[in-house]
Amino acid sequence: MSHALAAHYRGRAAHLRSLAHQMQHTPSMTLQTHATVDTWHGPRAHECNERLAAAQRAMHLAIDDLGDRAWRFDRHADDLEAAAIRADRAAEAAAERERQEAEAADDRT
Amino acid sequence: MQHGYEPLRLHELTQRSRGAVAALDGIGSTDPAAADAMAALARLEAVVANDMISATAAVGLTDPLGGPTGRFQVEQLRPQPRSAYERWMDEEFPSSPFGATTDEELLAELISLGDDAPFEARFDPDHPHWDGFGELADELARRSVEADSDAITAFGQLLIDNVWMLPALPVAIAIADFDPGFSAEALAMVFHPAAANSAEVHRTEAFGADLILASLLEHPDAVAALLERDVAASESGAVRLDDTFLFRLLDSDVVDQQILGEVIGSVLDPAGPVALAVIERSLTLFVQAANDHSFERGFSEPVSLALASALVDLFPQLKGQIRLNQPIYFDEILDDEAILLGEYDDVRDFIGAIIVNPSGMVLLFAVGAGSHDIVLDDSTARDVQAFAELLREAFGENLDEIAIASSRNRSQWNIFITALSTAVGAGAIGKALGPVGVRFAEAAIERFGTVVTQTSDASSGQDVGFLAQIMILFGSYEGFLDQHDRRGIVDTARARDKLAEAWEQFEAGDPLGVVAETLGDVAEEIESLGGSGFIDHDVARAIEDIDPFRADSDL
Repeated sequence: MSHALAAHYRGRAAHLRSLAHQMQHTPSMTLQTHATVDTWHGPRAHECNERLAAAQRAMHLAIDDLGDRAWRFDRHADDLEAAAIRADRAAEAAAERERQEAEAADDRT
Repeated sequence: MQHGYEPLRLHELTQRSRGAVAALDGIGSTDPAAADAMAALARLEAVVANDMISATAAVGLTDPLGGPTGRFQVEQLRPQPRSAYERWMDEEFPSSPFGATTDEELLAELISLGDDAPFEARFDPDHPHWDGFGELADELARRSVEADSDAITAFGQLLIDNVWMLPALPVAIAIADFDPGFSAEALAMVFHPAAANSAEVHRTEAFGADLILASLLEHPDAVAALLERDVAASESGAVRLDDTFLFRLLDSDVVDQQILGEVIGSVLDPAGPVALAVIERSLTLFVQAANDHSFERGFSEPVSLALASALVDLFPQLKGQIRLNQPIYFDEILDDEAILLGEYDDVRDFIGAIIVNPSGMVLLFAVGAGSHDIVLDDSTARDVQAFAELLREAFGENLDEIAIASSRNRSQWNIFITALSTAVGAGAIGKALGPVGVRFAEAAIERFGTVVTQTSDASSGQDVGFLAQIMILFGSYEGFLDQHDRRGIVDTARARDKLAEAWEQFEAGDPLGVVAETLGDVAEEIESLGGSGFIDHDVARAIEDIDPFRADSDL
């Protein structure tokens, strides 16, 4: 179960990174290079450019946040996998002990 | 301010803005962790579509000479394709607000409500922020389990997996009629060992766990199922004890211990829906928890009370099983199915973790007294002696912890320590208490359980001292009347009526002075039955015995 859960979180981390990459490279994020004073200037142009810059800043913050969340999901997956491996090893050790005890019992008989 | 534009570059900007909107439309995610990103995306799309394109188009339309070609202006007159955001904004919703929403939309609404939820001391479902939340909560409850089988749906599992990031989910569970199995799984996820220490987990644990826990109060079987899982994990050695659901719940600094105590009490109640074997196996987990090296502070008062009550209830199952330094089983030791409560020393330490709290101590004191009945019924003193010895050892082993608690409030503790000592030693008070012990202890805890944990002050100290005297009077008088009834020589009806009246006053919460006055009437009746010597000597001595710390002047 922990392995499956870990895979689930790794999948989500990968998805968030992919999403961050898409957002970072979407054309809107470079639109300001076509909206300089060489293109237009005046109060409305200024206002539009300001709003665009503010929305782009929000995007950058969101992209950073996605990276943070992806990192946390990966760490969470690491912990889950470590727990799963510990559980697997404990189960294997228990099975090995049982097998040895069974062999010892057979030897005695 | 001057203004102007370069037509070709403006046309280029318009085209690129359209392309940008189309590209933004192609980006999406239903992962709740991406909710903020989706909001940023929608904001950028709105700015580009509504500000940039509108402005550039308006420039072209209002300039008779503007635009690189006439085609450019005609194009602006065509209806613009609607973005996904605008389509969503335009959508008409049915009268049942969430019946027709997709799972993703429902989730988005839940996230949105959680993001700006009021963070006060605890989530308060009655806060105006949650007005109208009931319909959404009902819809979540409906979609979280299959209608025909109560199995958790994929959507329900998604909610559980992300409970830390959905602060509104516990409120929904508190408000709506969720399947208890779903709620229990959500609670287990809050305490998932792999998810400790992140901000979301702490927030959910702090604000949401109590709500989920309280919703499970009427469904102890769902909590018992989680404890069963802990038992299986513990037996297989797959999970460290301090990683189990129960341990993490007990060790939590933020869960309301009163609610936790009530839930544990309902799970361990043999008269409830949980099977006796499950209760017994669950209790073994508490024994293990009490003995874990990292669990050193004892159980909280409400949990102690629940565990002590469970021990009282399960005492018949332990009859004949307590032997010095022998493992203690429920039921017959030869029975293959017998459940091991714990090794002798482990059970002793378990009791120790209960009695460092006054309520637990008082109730176990009642067991000491109540067990007399069991002994009398079966004509054997062996069980009570064995149990008294176990209590005595637990008491001795935990003297340091009790002393620490005692230093906070010595005068009040002295009462309970003395009472316990006397009871487990089967002294005069313990013998006298007899059948009234258990119900007295329960009523006393209800009235004074919290008082004894507070810092000492003159009035509460006086109350508890007075209470102890009244405890002795109730027990002694009932014991006296029991003895005379067995002989059948005199009529004790009037005295019993008065005693019952005093008990009613006590249970009703009347001032102790009023109760004492009625008990004075009982004493007069007892004297008229020839019990003057009993009143003057036995009872007086018992009251005297209860305060061995005479140097303590405030008692």
